[in-house]
Order: sequence, then structure tokens, then C-alpha cells
Amino acid sequence: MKKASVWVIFFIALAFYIAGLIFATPSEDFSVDGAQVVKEIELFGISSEPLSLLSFNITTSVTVQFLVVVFLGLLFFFLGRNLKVRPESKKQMFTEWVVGFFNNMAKDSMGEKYISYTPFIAAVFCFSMFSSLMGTLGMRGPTADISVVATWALMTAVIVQRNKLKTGGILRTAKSLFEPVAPMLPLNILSEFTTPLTHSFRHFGNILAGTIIMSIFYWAMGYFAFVVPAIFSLYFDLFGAFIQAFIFVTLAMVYLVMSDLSLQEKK
Amino acid sequence: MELETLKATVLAAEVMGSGIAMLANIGPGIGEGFIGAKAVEAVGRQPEAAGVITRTMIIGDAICETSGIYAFIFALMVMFTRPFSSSLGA
Repeated sequence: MKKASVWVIFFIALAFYIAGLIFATPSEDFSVDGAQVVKEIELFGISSEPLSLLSFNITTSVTVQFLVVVFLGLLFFFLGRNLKVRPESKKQMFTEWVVGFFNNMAKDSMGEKYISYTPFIAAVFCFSMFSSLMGTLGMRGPTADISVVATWALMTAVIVQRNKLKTGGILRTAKSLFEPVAPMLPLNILSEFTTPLTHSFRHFGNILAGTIIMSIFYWAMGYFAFVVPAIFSLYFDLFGAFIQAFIFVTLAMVYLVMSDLSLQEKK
Repeated sequence: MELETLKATVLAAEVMGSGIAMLANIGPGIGEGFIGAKAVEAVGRQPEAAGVITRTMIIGDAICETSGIYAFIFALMVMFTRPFSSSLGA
């Protein structure tokens, strides 16, 4: 980048800062909002009560998620175009690096047998990471909403149960509830339900903590929130988004491998 | 006890309770410290395995954090939904 353009960017940022000093009004008190309902859609024209199946609410999470979906769709459409056998462009090198990253991650954690789950893992990883990164754009990240993360955890739980039935059959699956000894049955049944719970709470809690801490920073510094919040944002938003997405998919892969009953037979 | 005093007492107890719930984060703090210390030792002993060790360490941290995250979510729920004092109308 040329030196002059750096100065132009600097002066534009300075102009925004001064404009913020003049026009922005500081908020009076600190508050944490949940996901807001943007629009309520009523099916069949029936007015609804909360939790009714006849209506559903468009919340901020849904809206921001839609942005993420559009962005990811365009990104991967752009990355997947014009691929050649011998990579020529930097774009294709980057694409192959991304695909190789996910393939290696799946292979390291699950082995060759589950390599076909890579698209699921990669989709959840990208979606989770970019959803969390929306917090840096001033929007409320969808991952700071338990419903969003719980959906992914439930999807993983369904896949895990299917994998149990597929690898062990119904009898073997039922028998696995009585292992290692028969009195463990209630605890085993309980753990089938607490696993998605902890899986989603971990991601949700971490991102929500980061969101709250960052909003406390912006609120407490008021007009002077110029450089310092960015340094903390590096950890709470960028690093947190990557690490939490990574942990979420790694745990999903661990649960998936642990649910393989045919592997346990061999031991 | 007057009703206003009762409301104030319940509100104070709620806010203090959510603060006390966050004391649960002492445990994960100690646990993650152990994990980090052992990971540093392992990298010192076997520097070529640093990548695998770091990955395992991060997973262990995540598992270890669970109880702390539970406490955090519980504290937030009590702080922002205020189940007991709001039922009294405070």
C-alpha cells in the first residue's frame, strides 16, 4: 500500500472519530439485551401467544444469520469457480488450503472412516466462526443466542444417535446404556441429554461473555472508545470466535467417534 | 417485615447470589492452570509435538471450563431475569 493512501485512511478514520465526538450521544446506563423480535409472522392469520406453533418470530439472530448465509454462499461460490487441475491463481491455492485444513482436521480427529462427515464439520465451523465475527461489525452475534447454538448441538446429537444405531444395531445400542454395569442406566440416559446441553452452553457462554465484556468496554469508555477496545476485541471477538468454533466442531467429532459401537467391540 | 423491606431484601439476596455463583470459576481457573502447566512441560520435553499438544490442551481447557460456564449462565439468568424479586413485583 502506498504511503499516501495510508494517510487518507488515517484522516478518514480521524474524521469519523471527530464526527462521533460531535454527534454521538452517550448511553445513560448499561444494559444487556437479548435477541430482539424484529417481526412476528402469523401463519393462517391467527394471532398468537408466545411459543405457539402458528406463528414464528423473526429475531435479530435470524436476520444476522441470514446475512452470514448470504456472505458464506457468495464467498464459497467465488472460491469454487474456475478451478484448474494445476493451481494457477492465489485464489485456488487459498481454496485448497481451506479444504485441506478441514480434511486434515477430520482425519486427525476421526480417522479415515468418518472422512465423509467433513462437509458437516466444515459448514458448522464456518457458520459458527462468521456468526461470532458479526459481533465485530456492531451487530449482535447469533452465537450469543442459545437457540442458535443449541440447534447445532441437537444436530450433532441426532447424528450421534444415528451413528450408534448404524454401527451397533438396536440391541447393541440398548446394551450400551447398561455399560459398564447395569445400575449405570439412569446416568447413561441422563448423559444422552446433558451432552448437547453442555455442548451448546460452552459455545454460547463463551461468546456471550465476550459480547458482554466488549459492550461494557464501549459503554464505560464512551467517547474515548477508539483504540483500546480494538485490542481487547482481538481476543474476545477474533480469537474467541475461532477457538470456540474449533472447540465446538472438535467436540462434535469426539462425540461422533465415541458413539461408534463397532470400534468399542475391538478393544 | 414490611413489604418494601422484603422486596429490597429479596433483590439484594438475588444480586449477591449471582455474584456468589461466579465463585464457581475458581475451580476451572485452577484446573486450566494445571492443564497449561502440564502442556508447557510436555512441549519442553517434546518440542516437535507442540501442535498436537496445543490442540489437546485447548480441548481439555474447553471441557474444564464447563462448570464455570454453567455458573456464568446461572449468574446471568439470575441477574437479568430476576425470577424471585420480579414475582414479588420489585
